[in-house]
Amino acid sequence: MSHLKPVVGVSEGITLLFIFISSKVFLAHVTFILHDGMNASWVIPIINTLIGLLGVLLLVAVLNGHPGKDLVEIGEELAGPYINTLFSLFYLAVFVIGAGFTLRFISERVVAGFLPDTPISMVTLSFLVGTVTVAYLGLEAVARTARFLVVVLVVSTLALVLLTIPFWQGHVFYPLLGGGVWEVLRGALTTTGTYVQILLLGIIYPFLPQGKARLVGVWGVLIAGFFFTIMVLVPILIFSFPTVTEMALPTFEMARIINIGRFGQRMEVVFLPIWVFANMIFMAVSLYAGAAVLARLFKLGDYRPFVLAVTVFTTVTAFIPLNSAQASYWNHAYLSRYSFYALVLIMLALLLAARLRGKGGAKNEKGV
Amino acid sequence: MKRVFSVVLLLVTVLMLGGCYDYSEPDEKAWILALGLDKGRQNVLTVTAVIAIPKAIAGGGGGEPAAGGAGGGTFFTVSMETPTLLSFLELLDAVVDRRADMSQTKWLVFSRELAEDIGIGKYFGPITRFPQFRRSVHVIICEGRAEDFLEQGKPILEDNVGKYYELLMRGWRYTEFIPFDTFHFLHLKSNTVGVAPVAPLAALNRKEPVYEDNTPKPKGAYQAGRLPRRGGGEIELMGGAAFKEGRMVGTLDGDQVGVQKMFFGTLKRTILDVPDPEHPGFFIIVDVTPRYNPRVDVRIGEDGLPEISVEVGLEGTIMSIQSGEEYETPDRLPVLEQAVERAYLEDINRTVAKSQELGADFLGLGLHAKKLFHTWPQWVAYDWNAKYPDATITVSVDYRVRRVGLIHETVPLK
Repeated sequence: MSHLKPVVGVSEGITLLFIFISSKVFLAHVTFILHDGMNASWVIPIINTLIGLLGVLLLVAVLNGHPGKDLVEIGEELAGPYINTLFSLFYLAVFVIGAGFTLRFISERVVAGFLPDTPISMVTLSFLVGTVTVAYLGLEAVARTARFLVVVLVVSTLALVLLTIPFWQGHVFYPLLGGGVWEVLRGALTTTGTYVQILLLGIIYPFLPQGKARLVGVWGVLIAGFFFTIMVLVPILIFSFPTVTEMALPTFEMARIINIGRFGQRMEVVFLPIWVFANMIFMAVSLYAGAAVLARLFKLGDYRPFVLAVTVFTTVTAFIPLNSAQASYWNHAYLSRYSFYALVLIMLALLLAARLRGKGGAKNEKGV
Repeated sequence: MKRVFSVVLLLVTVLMLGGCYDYSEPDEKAWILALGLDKGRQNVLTVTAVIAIPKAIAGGGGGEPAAGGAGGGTFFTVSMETPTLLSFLELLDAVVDRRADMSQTKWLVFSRELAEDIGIGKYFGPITRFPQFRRSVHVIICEGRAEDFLEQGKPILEDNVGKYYELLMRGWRYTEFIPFDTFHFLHLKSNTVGVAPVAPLAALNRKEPVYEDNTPKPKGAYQAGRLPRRGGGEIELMGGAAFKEGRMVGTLDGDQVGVQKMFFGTLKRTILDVPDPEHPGFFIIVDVTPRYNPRVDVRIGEDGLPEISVEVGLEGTIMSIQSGEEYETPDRLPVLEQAVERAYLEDINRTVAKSQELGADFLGLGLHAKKLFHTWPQWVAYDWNAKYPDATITVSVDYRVRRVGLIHETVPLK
C-alpha cells in the first residue's frame, strides 16, 4: 500500500484470485453444496460461477470509475466516512472470518488425520508463522508465492482427479435433475457466497496493470469455477449420492481411495501439499487484505502494522467455534450463503452514489 | 525490527526441528493386518487382531511356517472381549508392547453368525470415520468363528501375512468366484437405493467330505466351507454373502458371484463346463469373457412393477471337447454356442431368482431403473426395494466363439 505502481502482473492476479476463491474446495465447503442438489449438485458450481462473473463485472464497473484507488478509498469518496466504515468492516469480516474458520478447520484436520497427538495450538502456530511472514512481506510476496505454487497445485489437483478415474461410476448422474430444478437453483442461490472472495479484486485493483481488472476478474472466476465444478463432480462420481454427503473432506477421501496395486496406496501424503499450499495462500492473502483494509480505513500508508492485529483477530475467530464441526457450519452460514449478496448491495450502492454525484461509473477500463 | 522478527521466527522454526508430538517409529508399532469380529462370549464382541512380526518377515520367516495364536512365525493373533470395535484398539495396548496401529489392515472379517444376527452396518461408522482404516480394506464373511479363521489361516507361499491376504483377494481377477467389492463399494451399495452389496465368503478347509457321491456337479456350485479338497492353505475364498440393509440375508455360490460380477463389469473371464448337447456325460469346456457390459432395459409396467430385459454378450475360446465331436467347423459352431448360451442363461436365471427371493438387488438393476425418474425424491418414493422382488426379468445371452484353441479339428480316438 506504500506505492501505487503496478506490482502484480495479470497472471499473478488471476492466480491470486482463483486460489483465493477456490481454496475452499479442499475444505468442507463441497459437502454443504451436495445437500441441496443431491446427485446433480455439480450443476450448482456452474450456476454460481455465472453469478460470480456478474459480480466481477459489477465490481469492475465500480473500480474502473476510480483508477488507482481500491474499494475502501472509493467507498470513502462515494459513500462518506461513516457509511464506508460499515462497508469496510464488512470487507474486514470477510477476510478475517474466512481466514479464522479456515485456520481452525485445517488445523483440526491435520490433528484428526495426520498428527493426532500434537496440540492444536502447535499446528495453528505452524500455519500462522508461515502465512504471517508472507503477508507481512506484502502483496508482491503473496502474489509471487501463489504464482510459484500454482503449478504444483494445478498439476497435483489434476493428477488427483485422474488417478480416481477407475472409481468413477456413470449411474450417479441419474436421476438427471437430482433434487429437482428448483432445489438445484435454490442450492445455487443460497451458496453464492462461494464468490464473495472476488472482493480481493477490489483491494488489489490499484496494483494491477491499468485496464486489466476485468481480465483478471473474469479469468480468476472462470478458473475457480472450473475447479469448483470438478471438485464437486468427481466426489459424486466416486462416492455417489448420498454417501458423498457423509464426508467432512471429500478431496481428502479422494486421495485416500487411490489404489494402484500393492505399492500405489496411501497417496494422501503425496497430495498433502495441495491442501497446505492452497489454504496457506488463502490465509496469507486474507491477512494481507485484512491489514490493507484496516490501513485504508485508518488512512495509513503502510499496512504492515496491521498484519499482526489481523492475525490476532483471525486466531481469536478461529477459536470461537467450540469444535471443527461448528467451524465448518459457521463458515458456511456466515460466508458461503448470503455474503455475496451483501457485497453486491454495496457495489450497487456505490454505483448509485457515483451516478448521483456524477463521479466514475461511465468510465471505461482505462478510466477515460 | 526486521532483525528481531527474523530471530524470533528462526527460534520458533528451530524449536520445531527437535521433533514433534507425533513422533513414532515404525518398529515401535504393532501393525494389525486383519481384524476379526465375532459375537462375544464375555462381552458384546470378540475382536481378534492378526499382528505382524516384522523381524520374522524381514528374515524370511526363519524357515518356520507362519504361526497363529501361539506365535513362533510371522504373525500372532490376539482375541479380546470388548464392547466395541475401537475399544479393542486401546485394550490391545494392555497386552502388546508396541502401540497397535490399524493403518495397514487388509481384512475385516465378520463371522457369519454376527453378520446375520446383528448385521455389519453398525461397524461401517468406525471404518469411515476413524483415520487409521481405509476404504480399500476388504470385508469378508467367514463361516464359523472369525477368531479361529484368522488364527488358523496361515500362508504357505508367503512370509508376509499381509501380502498373503492381498494376493488371496486379488483372485477376483482370475476367477469368477471371488466378489470384487472392497469396503468402499460395499459401503456405497449399502447406502444406495437400487443395489445391494455382496461380500466375499470365506471358510477354513473342511476336513470331512462335503458330498456323498461323485455325480457331476458344476464347479461353480461350490462355496467356501463346501469345497471338496485336500491340501493347500487353510483359508478358502469362494462365493459371496448378500446383504440387505446392513444385514446378511443369504449366500451365493461361485457361479452366482460370477453373474453378479458380470453385471458390474468386474468379471474378467471364467471357464465354463458345458454339458455336450450330443454326448450326455461329456463336457465342452470353454473360456468365457464379457463382450460388453450387460444391456439392461427397464420400464415400469401398467401395474407399477418393473419390467426388465437384459441382454448379455459373451465371447470366448474352445478349451476342450471331451467327446471329440467336431464342433470347430463354422457350420457346427452355433451348436456349441447355443449350448453355452443355455448353460450361462441357466446360471443367470438362477442368480436373478436368488436376488428376487432374498429381496436384495445385488445385480444392481435398480441403478438402470434410476434413469426413468427425473428427480431423486421421485426415485426414492418409487420404493425400488419393495417392488424388485415382483419385477418381471427376462434375460437373453449371446455367446460367440472367437478362437478354437490350438486344435484345428478333432481326430476321434481309435
